[in-house]
Amino acid sequence: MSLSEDFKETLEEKLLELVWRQWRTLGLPSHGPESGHLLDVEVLILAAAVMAEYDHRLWTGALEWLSQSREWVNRSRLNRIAEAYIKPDRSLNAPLVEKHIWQEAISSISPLSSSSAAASNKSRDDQVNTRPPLKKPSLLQLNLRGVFGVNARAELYLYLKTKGEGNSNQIAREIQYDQKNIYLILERWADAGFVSKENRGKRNIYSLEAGKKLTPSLDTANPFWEWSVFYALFLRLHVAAHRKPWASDSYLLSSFFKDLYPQSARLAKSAGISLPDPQLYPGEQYFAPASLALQSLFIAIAD
Amino acid sequence: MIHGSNLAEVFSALDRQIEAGGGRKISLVVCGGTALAALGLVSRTTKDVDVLGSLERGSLHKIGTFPVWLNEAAHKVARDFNLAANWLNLGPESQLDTGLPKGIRRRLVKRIYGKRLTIYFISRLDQIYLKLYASLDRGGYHEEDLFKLKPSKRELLAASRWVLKQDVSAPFREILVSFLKRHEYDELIGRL
Repeated sequence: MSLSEDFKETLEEKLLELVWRQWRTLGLPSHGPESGHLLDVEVLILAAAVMAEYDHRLWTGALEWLSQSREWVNRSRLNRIAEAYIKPDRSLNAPLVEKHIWQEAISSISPLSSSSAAASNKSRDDQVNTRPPLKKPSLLQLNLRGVFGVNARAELYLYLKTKGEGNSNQIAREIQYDQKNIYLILERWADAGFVSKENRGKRNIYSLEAGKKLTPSLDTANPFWEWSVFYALFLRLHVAAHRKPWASDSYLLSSFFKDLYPQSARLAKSAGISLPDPQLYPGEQYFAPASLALQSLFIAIAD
Repeated sequence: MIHGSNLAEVFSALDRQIEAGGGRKISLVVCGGTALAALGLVSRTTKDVDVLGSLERGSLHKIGTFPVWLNEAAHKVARDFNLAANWLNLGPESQLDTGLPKGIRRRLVKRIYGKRLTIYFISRLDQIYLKLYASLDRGGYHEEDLFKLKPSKRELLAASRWVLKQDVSAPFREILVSFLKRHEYDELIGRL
């Protein structure tokens, strides 16, 4: 088997294993282990949408879950994150998620759609899925939505809980919200003594203060919460490895690794892994060391 | 740097990047050090690929500016092989305005590098014409390249007559005469 074939198969297997594990944590019935990580529901929906082509059962299950649990999905956040998945990718010249797949997702979470009504009836009759078990440490995001509602506050709290602190620009970018909205909430929370505010240079840095006591410590769940970055990287690699002309072309895949180097290097740094320097490996010589390093990065974060 | 042993890899990479970026088929006419290396005429490294123009329906045409998809593909190849940003350039294109050696198109050597990219390298004889012109203008490595091509007296005479049509001024003729004397081709001077 060629190196590029091996990379393609290993990545697909690892991605499906991870996405299934996370969906099981959300309540999708299937045999196998659940995830110990904090989950990001909107990102996970998009991960299942990209993998729909490769695992129909996963996508059917995800659609049923969406129909039954749509009140837990932050639709505006989903739409914002989905921009990068449903518009043509800059390097791949095509969207990561097929149009009809995205329409199925939208239709499932729409309260007015017939498909979601049908699925709701089905769920009452057949009990195929269970409602999300909000007390699971991995589902802190949904738990917080239960407390704050499905809005920016839940994501903001989760960010501060996992990262410790941040400024409004940085937080808004990472949780995919409008900066003004995040700033206003942080200021109100600071006034209420829920967060502390410290001026460092030109920026106000916010961290949880009284709010710390709202939820238990994160000791029981893996606090990694950059799934939007993680999946944006590995799902794109997966799609490239399956799509012509990248598939089975070690040079084009090497070049694609280099396209994604800024994102992957950032993620690798947070996982304590160093990626091979693209400048040291001309042409397809980059493929072997980079593919191995990327697989190690995947395992370091996902396992 | 581009050299004989990585040249095919670099052009093949450019072809694949053109396809990946949704570009069209293109045929480029290449001269300079890359053409010398590609045809095994002179073994040396070069930092760029000099494009004279494109070959469409049997005729050489000016390109003006490369299409966006070709620039993007070339940019990725530059990054992937540590080449200069302008490694693929239209530097010698103005030669199409002043004139090319007669029969150059017929003598082009075709190389197909994939589904989208075909390169036509100028022949040894046309290299002699252009290298003589460049030697008189700039000297340096062009002069070295010219004599590595081991031109016969007949070829050098034909090239000398051609360069005199490129620049008809008296000072230029003097530069040519002095060049031929310096390289002990005095016998050609009376036949110019």
